[in-house]
Amino acid sequence: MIATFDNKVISSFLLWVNHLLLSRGQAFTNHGSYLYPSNQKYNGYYTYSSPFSQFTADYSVAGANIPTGIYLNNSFIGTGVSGFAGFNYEKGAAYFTGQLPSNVTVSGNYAVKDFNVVLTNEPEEKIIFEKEIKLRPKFSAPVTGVANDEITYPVIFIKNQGRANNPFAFGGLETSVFHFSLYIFADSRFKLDACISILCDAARSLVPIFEPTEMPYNSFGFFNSGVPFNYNTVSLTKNAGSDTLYASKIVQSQFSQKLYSNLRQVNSEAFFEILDVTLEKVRLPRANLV
Amino acid sequence: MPRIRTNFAAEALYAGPAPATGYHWISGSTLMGTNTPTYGTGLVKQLHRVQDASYGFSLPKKDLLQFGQAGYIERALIDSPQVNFQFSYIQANFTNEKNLGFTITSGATPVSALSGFLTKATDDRNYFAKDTSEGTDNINNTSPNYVIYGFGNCALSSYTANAAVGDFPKASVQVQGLNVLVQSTVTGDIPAVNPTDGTAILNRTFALPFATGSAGPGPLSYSTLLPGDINLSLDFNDIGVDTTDWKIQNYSLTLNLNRDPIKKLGSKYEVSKELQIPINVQMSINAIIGDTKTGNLADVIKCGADGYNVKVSLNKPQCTNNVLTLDSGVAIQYELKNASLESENFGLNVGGNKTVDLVFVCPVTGPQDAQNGLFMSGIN
Repeated sequence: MIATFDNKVISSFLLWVNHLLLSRGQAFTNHGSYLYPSNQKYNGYYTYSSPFSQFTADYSVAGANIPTGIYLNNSFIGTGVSGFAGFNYEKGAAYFTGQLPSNVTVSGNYAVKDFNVVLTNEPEEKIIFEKEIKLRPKFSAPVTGVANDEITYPVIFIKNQGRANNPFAFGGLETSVFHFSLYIFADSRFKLDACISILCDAARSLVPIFEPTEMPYNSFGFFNSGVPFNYNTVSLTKNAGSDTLYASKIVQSQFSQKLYSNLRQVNSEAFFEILDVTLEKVRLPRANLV
Repeated sequence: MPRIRTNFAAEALYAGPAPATGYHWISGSTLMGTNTPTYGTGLVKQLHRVQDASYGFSLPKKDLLQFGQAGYIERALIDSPQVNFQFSYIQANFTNEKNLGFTITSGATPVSALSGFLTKATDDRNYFAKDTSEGTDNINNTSPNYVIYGFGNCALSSYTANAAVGDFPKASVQVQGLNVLVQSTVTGDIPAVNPTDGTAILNRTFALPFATGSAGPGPLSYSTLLPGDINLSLDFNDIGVDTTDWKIQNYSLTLNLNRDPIKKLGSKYEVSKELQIPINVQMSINAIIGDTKTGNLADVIKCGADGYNVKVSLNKPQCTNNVLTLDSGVAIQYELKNASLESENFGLNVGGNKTVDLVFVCPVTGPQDAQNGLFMSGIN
């Protein structure tokens, strides 16, 4: 099935949130560490995971150390060497075509995101009250790699809360309206406030719509077609009139103290807020209907 | 299948070339009455971003009575029919205004926006409304099933442009015409009539282009212009208002082109709808005031309250979060030169902010005057 307009909107919004935090807030930390073998094979690849979830992989972010290769026993190699297939930047992991000997250490330098940004379809109450997410990394425990399906915070869960088409003008033009909720879990109040400040200040700005061929990663998490991703380069090709969404509303929801205390029982170390975002686009939704 | 109803998605509006009785085709630089042989380009243009439209006509009749009879003998039509067509649209560029007959300045030398109306070069034209089949969109619809409402010999009588915080910039237009022609072919005789005798204009056909979503690519494809991209500059710093610190809430530019119908014996129609002179453009501005400025009304009266320049610029939409910096600059711009202050009112109520309402009036002078009047420039 081909990617439809909604698919592009959701993906573009995720990239935009990522880019806002990384570029405006410098929400990344350059780091170097070992990568640990994971017991999970991903699509036939042997996985060596960092203690963190997501790497920064946007070359438009100044100062971010984006890994292009990896160290085996402190010797730097690039992709295609010694079975190194590439990085899954969203998982913070390196993939190898074969299992490395146990005496080989795998390490790398990378820029870890201060906020992992993921899409979710889970109900709100499960996200807030039932999902136990772990602070990365927990220094009281031995440092190890993050499992493929594990979510660590600080994290922003993006959930699609629905969409509608509203009439805009004669002739069939309609405004497609999308509602998203951002569930923000941070490990400090400072980080939470900073994140909210950046995102709320982006209200009434334009969100570029990325085509499927312009997405940064392939199904393995490597750069699409091996081309390093630069958000600014792609977004500058977009026409403000036809290739963008308008972020008409970004507001912070208010919660009662009881809800906060209930939340603390599940995730005692997390600071939490919700942002509601509305994106709009004037388009011809029935243009391609037969 | 019979049509049950028509909704907004099925209708599109168009404006024809001027004059209304003139040529609606062009081949190279040669105007043609009909597109025969078929190698010309139609001159009817679509009006985009339309929000509402209403049209109709009235027949002013006079009762004929006589002694000995309570009821009237006849209700005679002794005056010209009045065709009214009004619509509003969201502003994204000046393409609609250009198609309505306004002169959009493109070079360094400003040209009065009303020069075409004053010289009659772009004054009267025909308008069209096309309805496609029920349940279909008009835009990109190539189906041959439609109804065309044609409004002939229409002259612009009112133009209003306004914008407010929290809403799109809009324009409203009213035109008055002489004839209505409803047909079911996308090409046909123009709806204009000979004002002298009401006969159809021979050898003048038109064709409506298929409706499109935008006036063109690039800057012409903007959906709308945004309140956050509107700047209003005003060299007014007199009584009580510091315009460097005010927070403009809305503006409204109103242009009433009052018409003087020219009639004559022997003609059932108005021979012409001449503009009543003088023509004034009114600009109303409402703003929340911050810092105030001292001043004396007596001084203003002594020195005159004239000679203000008001410029409203609606900039192209762009993203400034170092991500999407595309076209910059002005999309559309209104400029009133040498306007005079008509009124200044302050208001404040419990729970609100102190506001000021300023009204400026600018006379429209001759088409060759570049120092006074209304000037429009921008994407068209």
